[in-house]
Amino acid sequence: MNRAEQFTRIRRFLRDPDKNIWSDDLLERLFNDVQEDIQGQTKILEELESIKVPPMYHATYMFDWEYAYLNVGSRYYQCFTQHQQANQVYIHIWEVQHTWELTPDVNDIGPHTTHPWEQFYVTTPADELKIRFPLGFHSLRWITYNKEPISFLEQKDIQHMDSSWRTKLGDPRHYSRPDMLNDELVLYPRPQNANWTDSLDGHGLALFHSADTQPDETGVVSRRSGSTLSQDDGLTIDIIDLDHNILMIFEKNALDLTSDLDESDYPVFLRKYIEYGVLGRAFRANTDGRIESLANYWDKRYELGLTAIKRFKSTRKTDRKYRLGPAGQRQRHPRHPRLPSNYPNVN
Amino acid sequence: MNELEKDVLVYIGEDITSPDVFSDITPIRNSINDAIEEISMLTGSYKEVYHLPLFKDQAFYRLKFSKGFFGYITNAWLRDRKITLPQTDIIKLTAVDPYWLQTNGDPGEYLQVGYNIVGVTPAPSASTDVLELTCVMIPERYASDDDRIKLRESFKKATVHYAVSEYYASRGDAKEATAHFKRYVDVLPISYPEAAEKPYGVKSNESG
Repeated sequence: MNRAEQFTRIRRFLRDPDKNIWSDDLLERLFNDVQEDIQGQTKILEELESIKVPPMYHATYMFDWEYAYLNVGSRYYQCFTQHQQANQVYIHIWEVQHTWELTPDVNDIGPHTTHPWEQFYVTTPADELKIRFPLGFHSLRWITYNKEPISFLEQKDIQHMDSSWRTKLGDPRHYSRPDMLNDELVLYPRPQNANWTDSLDGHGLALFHSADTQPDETGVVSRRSGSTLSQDDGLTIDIIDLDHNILMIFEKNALDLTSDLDESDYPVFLRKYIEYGVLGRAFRANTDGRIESLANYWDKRYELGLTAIKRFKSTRKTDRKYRLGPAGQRQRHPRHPRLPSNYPNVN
Repeated sequence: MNELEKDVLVYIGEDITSPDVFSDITPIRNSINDAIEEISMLTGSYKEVYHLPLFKDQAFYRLKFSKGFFGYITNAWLRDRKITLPQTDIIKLTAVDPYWLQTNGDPGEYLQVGYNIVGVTPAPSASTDVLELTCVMIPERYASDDDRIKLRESFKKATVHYAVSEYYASRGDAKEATAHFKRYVDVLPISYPEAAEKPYGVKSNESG
């Protein structure tokens, strides 16, 4: 069920098949807004993915103005360092001194690279190994490197712990996030091994193959069709090579739909709730079709839909024999049966 | 046109032998399919068994169904070892053994991640067993008059009210739409929990 089909369904209830009142632009914005609202309220979308270390990118760029010319949906890496005092990009730290006509004598750690994978080919790379989270990433639930769990630390705490944090090599135990904008993480210590395997072997999901062109999912595990036991055979088996790679479970945002052929990230049976939310908002929009009673009706349907999704999510745990609770919660001890207070003393 | 669709047409005043408004039954069919999906999702009334062969060293599997949509797992049974795998989750696994991913052996637990990913732990040390997963399913949308409607009889009339409600909503009559939708909701254990199935028990009136 793609966007065009969902819009057709929505327009049936709007009684506007010819787009006289509600344009596709408006419906698209409402649709993407409701998708985000549903995920925010229910957190139903969750994904498990592995990230290759080092990640691969389609291309790198330096200046912010280049961003406008990059292909949407592809993965790009911004290399080197923005000079905050001028519209420049510099590579080595001593260039900042040179700009101010000082003697450039500050030591840089080592070579700088344009692609993260190059850092595994130099002795002491000076750049942080920034690894991009998958598309649609919102928040982490669990993360491992090389099948070992790693925990979050602020970069400030890492610097405080270890003055040579930039160059320390080892098995990563922690990760930090430079900021929230670019959805990147930095492993600490820096991993010294990389998994360069690119040959298909056995059944499963290859990281990439030398004969394949690089897909849009570069930087995460991609799916290769045409091999045995593909999803068309009714059974999809993924072998995620976790050696020296990241495996993570995260909450994801539904990606915005931008064309008629796009499909929502929600399962098919949940997409009707997006339509209810769109209808409620559409009937409230400042248009000639504003009808309060219908807006209320669809808003109620949408609220009930959110309740249904939350109920559906909780029923996934019905097979469990335990219950999770907050850490450190005091256990309530069940009362043991005891004799009434007026019972004769048996001692 | 199946019986449910005919019921809907009768409710909205159409001639079922020669409908003049719904000569194309697609909108009604869409509404009934939506209702079937929602009821199945909430009641868990339709289940199928998914046989998943386990592979050596592979902990996670992405389930792909050729018919219908996956809801959630209610039971996991190992065929060769003849044991049930209890359900677990990442939080419990990490609390008990943070390095659980590094362990291989006979699977002892399963977990569901996201929409359609199931994991077993420890990862199997051999590709020998088959995991039988009993899954609540959401039926695929029926498309022809002769397709089977995978819904309990007791829920079928509710789907009629759902579709009638959407018909009135499409006509701009919010009041009638709400009334019919309430009749649909009465069947579901959401806003009206007394409608849920309640098994009876016995309790003594004697004190002490």
